[in-house]
Amino acid sequence: MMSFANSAIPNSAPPTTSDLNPYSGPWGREQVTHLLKRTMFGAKKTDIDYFIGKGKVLSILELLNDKVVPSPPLNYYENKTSMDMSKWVVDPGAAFGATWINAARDGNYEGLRLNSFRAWWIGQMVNQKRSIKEKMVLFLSNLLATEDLDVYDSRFAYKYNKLLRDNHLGNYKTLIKAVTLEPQMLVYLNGRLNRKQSPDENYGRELQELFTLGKGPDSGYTENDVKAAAKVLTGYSDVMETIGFKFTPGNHDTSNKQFSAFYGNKIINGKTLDAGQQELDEMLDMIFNTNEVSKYICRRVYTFFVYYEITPEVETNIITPLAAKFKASGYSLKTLMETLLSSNHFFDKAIMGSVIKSPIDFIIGCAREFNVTFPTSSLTDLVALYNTWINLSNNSTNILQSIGNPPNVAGWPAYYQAPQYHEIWINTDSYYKRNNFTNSIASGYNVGSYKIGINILTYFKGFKTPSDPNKLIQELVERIYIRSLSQSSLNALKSILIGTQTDNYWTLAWNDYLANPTNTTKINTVQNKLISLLQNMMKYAEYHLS
Amino acid sequence: MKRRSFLKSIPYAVLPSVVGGYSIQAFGSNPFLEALSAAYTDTDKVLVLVQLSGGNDGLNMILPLDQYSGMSVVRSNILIPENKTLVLPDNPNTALHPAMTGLFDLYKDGKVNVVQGVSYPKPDFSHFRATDIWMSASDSKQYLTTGWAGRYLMNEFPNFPTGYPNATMPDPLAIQIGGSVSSIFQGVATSMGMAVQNTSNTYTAISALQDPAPNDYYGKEITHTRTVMYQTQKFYAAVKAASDKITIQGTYPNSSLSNQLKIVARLIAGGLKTRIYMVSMGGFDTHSIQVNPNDTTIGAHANLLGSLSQGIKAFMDDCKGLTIDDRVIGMTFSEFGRRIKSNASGGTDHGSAAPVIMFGNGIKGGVTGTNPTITATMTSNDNIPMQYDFRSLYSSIMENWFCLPSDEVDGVLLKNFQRLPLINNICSRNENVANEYKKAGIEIVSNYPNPFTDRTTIKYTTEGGYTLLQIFNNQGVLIKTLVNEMAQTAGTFEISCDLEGLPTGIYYARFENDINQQVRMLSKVQ
Repeated sequence: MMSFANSAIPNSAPPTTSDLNPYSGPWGREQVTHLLKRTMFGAKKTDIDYFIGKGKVLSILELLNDKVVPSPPLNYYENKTSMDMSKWVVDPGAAFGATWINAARDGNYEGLRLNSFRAWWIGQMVNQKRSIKEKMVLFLSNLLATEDLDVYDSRFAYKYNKLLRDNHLGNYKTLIKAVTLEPQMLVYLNGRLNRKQSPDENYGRELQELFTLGKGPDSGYTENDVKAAAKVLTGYSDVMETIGFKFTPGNHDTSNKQFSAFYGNKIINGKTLDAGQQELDEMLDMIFNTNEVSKYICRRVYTFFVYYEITPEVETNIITPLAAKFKASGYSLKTLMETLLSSNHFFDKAIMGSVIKSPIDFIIGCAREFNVTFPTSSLTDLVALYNTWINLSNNSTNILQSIGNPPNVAGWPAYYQAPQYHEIWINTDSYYKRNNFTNSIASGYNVGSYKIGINILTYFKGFKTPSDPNKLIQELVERIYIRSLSQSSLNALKSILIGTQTDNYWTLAWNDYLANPTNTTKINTVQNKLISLLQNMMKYAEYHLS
Repeated sequence: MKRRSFLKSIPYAVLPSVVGGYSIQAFGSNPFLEALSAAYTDTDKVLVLVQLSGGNDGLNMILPLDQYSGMSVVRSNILIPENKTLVLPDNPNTALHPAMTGLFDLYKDGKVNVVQGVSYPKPDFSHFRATDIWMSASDSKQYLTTGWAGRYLMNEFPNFPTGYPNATMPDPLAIQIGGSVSSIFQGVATSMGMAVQNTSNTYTAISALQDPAPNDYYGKEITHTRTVMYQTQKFYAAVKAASDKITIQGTYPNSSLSNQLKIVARLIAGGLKTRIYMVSMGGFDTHSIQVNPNDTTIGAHANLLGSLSQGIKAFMDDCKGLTIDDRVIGMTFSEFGRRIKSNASGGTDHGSAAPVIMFGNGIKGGVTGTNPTITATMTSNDNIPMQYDFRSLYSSIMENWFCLPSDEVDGVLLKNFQRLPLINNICSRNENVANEYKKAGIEIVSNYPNPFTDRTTIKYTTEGGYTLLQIFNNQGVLIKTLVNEMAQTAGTFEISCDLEGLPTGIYYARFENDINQQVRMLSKVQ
């Protein structure tokens, strides 16, 4: 019978006391792997080797210095294969291989274009540079959540994503103003319907509750502040033609807006005509003038990038000074991230390996760490390429994370729902499906006619000594787990390769394959065992942490 | 079963996984451990929770027909014509939304109880905080990290997951149909619930790596994952076996909710000992265009309510066919109701109290509570007042359906809440007397003068015993507690209520005495 390693679930792990000062300890595989797993999707061996040589300061600088603007998503969905021309799929807004991002909205093609967008986004993650950008985009798309399938305008979805991408280390206050006026957000939280006759409080509430102040112990905004904010925000609406917004003074509430004592009883005087738009700036100044915004955003960053439990020590030693620095910088996300990632606390062993991989991290990280190959980006491969990306996105949706479509405006519960937080990602349903995914990718599966999967033999040929089962297992553990295993566990894994035989059994089989690299029988002998080894190791709890 | 009282004395927050000094490491082979792991209450009763996410517009679901003159002013753009509503035969002033014909049939069969005005003091208007409050059964400003159903199940199965499954409890304690488990099932150390989306899954066991998890964050997450891995292996087998036993089921409409309820019926009939199931549907956050502007009886909200009603009806019919209908009750809930006054975008913003629907053969049919008062002068600041605390429903279910001893019910909910006569007596305890006052239409709480400027006198009649008189403002915020007596003598009393210095507007006096309860609207003017 199986039993737990622990007789009981640890109720409270010891809090760490490390601080926010710059880390100057050892710089090796352990630190680099940790840094990459938290800031990118998976830690590839080539990237680890690269950054070990760079040292800490230059490594972090490089991760925070990505100015590349990717080319936009393309029409891959055109289909003229049917004999019946009426069944052809031909987007009038974009030819095959061209982008639709500036085309007119077309209800017939929004679904297909959104698929194209979602696939493209996955592609950005799979092909990420040595950069924090894609992790930040995912973080921001959760913090400032919208639902693409709810808004259902592909151009809005892309433009919103581009805003987050272009500002992934930008100024948070500037970003919030832009988010407020983005057509995606004006539709999603009803800003477009917020008029003076009967204010719609949706955005005014979430702006404070979820995007800036949060509901921490010192966040004291009131229900009346929600109502007053809604009034300030009256008059804006999305414009489909320009993929932008407009302000209609006639819909704007020109009364004076009284805020609570939390905001120093601030009154925002109502303004008429186009001057009504100045009220938004005045309100954002008021909100960002509090200390709560910086603390709230630092807590959200910490929960996403470090760990979900914010102990009193972490609040005092990390959040408080980090927030002060963030606020003093005028809300520079780059300052925030650089300070956090450079700190003693970030490289504290007590937090290494403590994050349960989110579904996207699990899937994209797997594809990257195992060097899964994709179709090329040539026009002839475009359909296959986008379809494999879509397939990865669907796999992620299947285990609870649909990019661009979190469950609601609060984002994924793993980043706010106490007490479980990240643990929410793994339940009896999703754990089962995670295993199904890793089983499939280890053995390879077809997306259309393209077979996607880990190239097992190529992967293990890259090991230092794959002919020695002990060294092979040891290197595999180092590559895909965070911490080492006991000798008895290593032996248990080795038995997948050698059964009850001696080590030499594996060495002979491997060398036999190397000597006969095209012999199907000899290939299968080693390949099947290695697939089985990987499938088992990717089921274990150790693989689900990063 | 003496350990119950011992466990009860331990606050939930520090409930250790070591009981009585014994660290529980082995599984059910030892009689002592068997006894520890066994449930205390032997029950075959099942509760199905139906979560309506987003904040359901209760005023558009249960329509107060005697308030139509006010409604036609403050909700003119969304109001359903009175003659289209489904009027409750025994409560001609109250009606169901016309899309809810299935539920209407169940109501006429005496299998539905509509509980009016369910909320809590100082309601929260945030989806997320309000949901947490409903899930954890906390006070408005109290932050609990456990769910109420999780605490109930911890009370019954204290060591879970250590030692589970075992011979006495071979099945999941609670099942959420879907991809994730609700925080309602959260216990101190782990979730007491299991997520099930596909009942035909089988899981090939792998032998676990045995390295002890270190006592740090990494070890905590390793252990969580290992626990889920173990439960997946064990419980999927039980779920599949139960599911495979049922080959014929009733017909259901094709909707997400119906598909979920169909699985629930299948698993119950297949013999799972699981006590609580949760299903959910979203889309209730109807800030805009909740009705078709040309025909207010149809549109987004009508579709939601139709789907809900059809799903429950199909489920109850199926349960009857599977002869489990006497074992199952259900309860709908949403994190809040919506604002009385509709907005200009044809929708409703976040509000407070709303009706809850209880259904099942074990439910006493009827309407509990009274229609809210809606006046033409109400503004977008006005909210429906609370008549019943939602935790009264939880406590009534635990005591009268799961037959949990009264003091333990209070322990799970962390304080005592009024019990309501919603459930037919199955626990062979003396039932409380029926609410004669309400039937006779007698006002047990009234005030004069009304309207008033600063002070008004409140008159109330108590049968004796626990008596509570509270004043709420129109946001549902508790302003003052005028009477809070554990053992007041029976009789009619008067007490002065001073609201000097408070804003003018609508206030509510809420009176509670044993199972009796009434809310009176107070109008403070200049």
